[in-house]
Amino acid sequence: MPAIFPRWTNTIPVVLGLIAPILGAGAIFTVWYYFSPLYTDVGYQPKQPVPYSHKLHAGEMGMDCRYCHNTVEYAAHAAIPPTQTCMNCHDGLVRTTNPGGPYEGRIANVKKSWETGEAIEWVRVHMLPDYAYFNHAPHVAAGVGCASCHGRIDQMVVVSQDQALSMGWCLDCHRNPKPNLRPLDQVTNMAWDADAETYDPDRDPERKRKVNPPLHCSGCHR
Amino acid sequence: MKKLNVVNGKGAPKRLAPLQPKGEVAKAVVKRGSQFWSSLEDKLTDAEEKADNWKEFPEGAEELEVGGDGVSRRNFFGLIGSGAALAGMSLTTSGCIRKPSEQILPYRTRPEDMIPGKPMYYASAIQLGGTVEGILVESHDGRPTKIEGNPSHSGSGGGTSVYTQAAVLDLYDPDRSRMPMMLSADGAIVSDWGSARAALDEARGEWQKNGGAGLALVLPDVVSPTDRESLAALKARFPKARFFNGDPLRATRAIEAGEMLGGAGARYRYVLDDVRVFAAFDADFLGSAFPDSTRLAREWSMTRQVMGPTDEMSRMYVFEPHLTNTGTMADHRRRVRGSDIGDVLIGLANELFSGKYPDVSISGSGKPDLPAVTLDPSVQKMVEVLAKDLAGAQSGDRCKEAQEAVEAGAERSRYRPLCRSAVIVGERQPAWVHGVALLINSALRNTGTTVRWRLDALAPKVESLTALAEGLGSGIDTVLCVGTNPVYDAPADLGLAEKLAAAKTFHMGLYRNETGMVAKWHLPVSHLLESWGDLESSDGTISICQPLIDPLHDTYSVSELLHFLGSGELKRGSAIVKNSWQKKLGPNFSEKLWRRWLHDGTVSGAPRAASIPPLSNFEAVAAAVKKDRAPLEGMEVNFHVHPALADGRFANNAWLQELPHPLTKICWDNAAYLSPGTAAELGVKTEDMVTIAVAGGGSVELPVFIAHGQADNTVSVNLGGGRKLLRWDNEPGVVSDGAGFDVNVARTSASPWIASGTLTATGKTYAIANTQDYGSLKPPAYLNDFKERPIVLDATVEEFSADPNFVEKANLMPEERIRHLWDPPKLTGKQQWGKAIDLNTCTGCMSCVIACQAENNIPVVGKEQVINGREMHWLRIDRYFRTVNEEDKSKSWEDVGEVEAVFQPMSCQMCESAPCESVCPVAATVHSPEGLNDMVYNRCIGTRYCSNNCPYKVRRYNFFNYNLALRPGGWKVYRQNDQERKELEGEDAWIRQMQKNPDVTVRFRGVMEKCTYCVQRINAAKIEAHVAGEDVVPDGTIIPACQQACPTKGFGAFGDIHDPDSKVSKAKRSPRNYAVLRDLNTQPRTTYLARIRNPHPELA
Repeated sequence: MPAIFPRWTNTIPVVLGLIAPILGAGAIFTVWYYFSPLYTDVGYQPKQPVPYSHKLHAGEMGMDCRYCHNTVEYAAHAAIPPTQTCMNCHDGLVRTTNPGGPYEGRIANVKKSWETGEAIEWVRVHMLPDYAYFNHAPHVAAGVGCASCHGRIDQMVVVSQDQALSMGWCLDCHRNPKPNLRPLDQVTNMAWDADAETYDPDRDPERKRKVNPPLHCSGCHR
Repeated sequence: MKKLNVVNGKGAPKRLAPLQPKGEVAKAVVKRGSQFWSSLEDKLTDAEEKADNWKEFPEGAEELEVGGDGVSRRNFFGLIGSGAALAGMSLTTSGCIRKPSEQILPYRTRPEDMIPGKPMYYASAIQLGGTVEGILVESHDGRPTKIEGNPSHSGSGGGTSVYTQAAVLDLYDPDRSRMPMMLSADGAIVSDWGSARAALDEARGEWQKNGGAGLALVLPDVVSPTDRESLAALKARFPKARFFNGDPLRATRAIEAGEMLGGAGARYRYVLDDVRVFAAFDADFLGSAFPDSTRLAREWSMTRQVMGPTDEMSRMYVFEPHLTNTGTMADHRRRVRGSDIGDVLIGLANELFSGKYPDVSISGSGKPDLPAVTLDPSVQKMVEVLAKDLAGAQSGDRCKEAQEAVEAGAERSRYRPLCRSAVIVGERQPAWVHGVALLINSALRNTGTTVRWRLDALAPKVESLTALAEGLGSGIDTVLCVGTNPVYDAPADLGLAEKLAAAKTFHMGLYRNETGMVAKWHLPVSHLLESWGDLESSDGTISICQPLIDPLHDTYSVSELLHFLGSGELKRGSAIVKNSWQKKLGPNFSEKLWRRWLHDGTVSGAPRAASIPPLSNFEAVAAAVKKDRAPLEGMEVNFHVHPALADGRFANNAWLQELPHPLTKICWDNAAYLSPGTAAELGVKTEDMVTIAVAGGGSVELPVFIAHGQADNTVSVNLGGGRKLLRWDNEPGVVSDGAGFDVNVARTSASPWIASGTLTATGKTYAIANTQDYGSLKPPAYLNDFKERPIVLDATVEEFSADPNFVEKANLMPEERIRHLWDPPKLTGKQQWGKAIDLNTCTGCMSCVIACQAENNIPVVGKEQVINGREMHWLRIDRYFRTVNEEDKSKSWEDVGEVEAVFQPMSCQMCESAPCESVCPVAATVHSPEGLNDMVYNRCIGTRYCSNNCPYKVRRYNFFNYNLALRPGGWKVYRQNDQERKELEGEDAWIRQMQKNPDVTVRFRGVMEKCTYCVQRINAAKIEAHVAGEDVVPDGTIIPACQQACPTKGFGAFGDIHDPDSKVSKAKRSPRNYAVLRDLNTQPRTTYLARIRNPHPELA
């Protein structure tokens, strides 16, 4: 009786045995790496309706974060400023409104919003799932620096996402918050360097309570 | 992990025999407690049968297939398929990496004090009938989402009625009218305000010429000072105009009786602060529809808060034909036919004036000339005891004595000495019954204390709808229905539908309803939360109503329209209200004062002419009794205001439609309530259709429901069903369409509330959605050795003082016999949350259920799904019955007569050793260090093991994506291939979405959910404390939605149980404190304070 399968088929199990684990590991790696927020979300840099440069405003001119994001100490959102905040300066500035000048048209959408009352449609960069309830206020109160989560905004011309903002990333800090805490007056300081300065939050007389971040589910999910 | 004591039966201890309660009192309490049943079926099914039928979910909940026009399994899979296809498409278009792009739209100029993402609260007020409640409205980024009571308003005291809680949903009802509509030859057509105004102007021109002859206004109870001015201006300009009352909730008959004694404009209200003896005659003053019910419930509860055995407690006697919330809370209740209530009251008056009680007399008036009545011996006995109690309540001036004792240094055992009495009569009773009650109250020296009078001189004089029906066709040719719906509300024998269709009718209302459909013009009005106004409550407290949002649709408010009718100017409400007050106060008015009023929610510093009418003319009562008292033979038909839908005005409110009736637990329907005896006599049972024919009126066909506590030979029906309303696109109102039966067609104007009639079975049946057997806490017999395991504990005052620790002694499972199956969670949190619910003051008003629904984005599932047992309420109010003389086993179901009932709010008990947590395969329900049983929606895979293992049956499962269209039955839309309809649904969904609380996740299909103790409020308070540098939240800062809404604060206390000084710790230290199903060792954080009854020793 002739053989149904040719002799080379005997190698199939061996080859499969060798390749399958590699393929399997590859699949696991692919999902683990490429499907993670670290890969999918970090670096997200949508085009904004106004070519606003944080590098210019927060970096070169040294404006404090809270001049615009003034609700960050009181509310869940570090609210995007109303058009009014832009116009506090830009209404009187000739440079950006001067026709024919090098910056002409850059704040066209701001002016339009100011005149019509319509909102500027900023594109959201830092997005959490709807079932995660992040609140800026306690983080700022605990002395977590803006730069810890948002990166060096003062060096970004167009804002992009700096950290993964995944649940694991959140919990890393919630389990061990100390490395990310800084003196309460340094929260908005972009250049504050944790390595250069030795800071122990437990010995800071300015702090009224020990930072004790929640690790249970309802701390963030409800 | 600790070594388990019980593993696979190995090493299991020998099964121990159940313990017996210690002591006579505990024995009696356990015995009575285990006699409670939730429905007739529950009572009649014995334990073995129950064991066979015991199921995790109610019948049908787990089957996917649903009958009728529900979705079949096949369609359902089709649905899933298309959903998956759509999901695939969106994945490819978005490049497979990002979540959908989101926009942030900041303000151009942010309003002062506004912090995006932080809710703001505005004070306003809401009216229902003549009742005014001050409210605080929560607004999220400009969207009002939740209504709370205003603690500084007397009508609210911080709590709200169920209607107030639900009112916010009406604002976002997509079925609301959006633009004026005109009735043309081809039916109703969409018009605009320009044309509507032209039509009104033309009419005004005519009234100008003839002085308003032929003009009729059908008004709600007008308690707004500004609206009263507008009406006065209208009357001055068109003196021949006539006003009619179109509000069925106006206390018409109480007012009639008040004016009989005190002259025109005389009004009285009850104040129940320190009442020792209550006597309610067909008066459901704890139910939401009674005038000032929220305030009365609060005052009543002050007399029922018994912490220790020495505390004084009031006693309540109730005579009524149909079991109500008030009847449930009574210490003595008798079922009395509605038409016999007056006779009982006359019996009481005769007893009081018989000479036995020399203190009882009316100064300046002799013994009233009332007819002799013969009462049923048991009722007569109760009346005699009641008379003794009433007369004794303030004999020797207990109030003064108690006050002096307190001043002399005696320890005050309770809030106030209880030293008054109140005889209360409900609106359903004719005016002469109210008159007799006023007579008795006067004789008991209650005038000025529990019955307070005031002269409401500015009240517009209104006539009845009967007069309108007579006038139509003979004089009246133009009718303006301002926020009223006479076509539906009026008894059908008036024939208002045809008469109004023939007249020139303008209808102004939230919906194009029955009146709007026959009117020549339908003009949409703004919702309360969109309009300016002012309201004066019965005690004279005035509130300014301020809008939370610009009108969503093209509407004007009632105040604006009334002002226009009077002045001819159509202008915005803020100016009207403010100008009116400016004029009233003159130079005393200032912007600062106005802003203070808006902030506080009450008007202060306004001059007020407080005058109390002198009572005289007591003889008129006896004359009225002689004239109007008439016996009613045969079957008696009782009409009641619906506890959830009121007179039907809330019929398109899905929350209220799905809210179970407090006593019968029916939702989405109304039924003919019959006592078991009467049902057996007629040969009908629950869900049989019957025709009720009212003598001299029409007839209505509706299903029977056997209701306990119903007087024999009576049938009770609720108003508010069978509403019809059309949207602007001529689609029927989604919620109200097909819900319930319109019983107004059977009513007569001569006797609108209590009439004689006949009942005949039609042989048909009808499915009623009823939740009374859902979530039974009684496990099957085979799961438990304990036959007697009470869920609700109650004792009498005597038992409580004989054995204050009866609750502890009634515990059938001592600590040493309890073993942990697993290690309890580590409770390391600084604060440990717990709740105590006082069964003594829970009146079952259901406000908390709606508050929970509004706060926590709980979906409505529709009647079909309720029948399938899939309702989503996180909080349910269990209601249990017990037959009086339960021991008499010879009685069959037909003989279940007098019953006692209790309410027990039931939501997640936050067990410290939670059975749900140990069975979840994905750790979607876990314990927080602060003792909360966290439910993590994003982890839940929907195995429903947790629900199966929950002994309290408080977990709810999203069988469908109820939020998809954000309307009940919305998911059905997907079966229709109708593009236009889909788009419309989308637009409606946008409106509906605006009500959702942004601090709570909107759950998807396939997720388990349950009460969270309002963890969003806990977190908000904690964050606030932490930002301020505090470690702990002060007691009283966190108030869960249910507790906040509670009119009686019977929801007890919520707070930190580790803080010995917190309110909740104090409540839990009461000897009445007990945990439900304590023997299961779940260690619930929610505990209950056992109910105490205060029966009269002579009647016990």
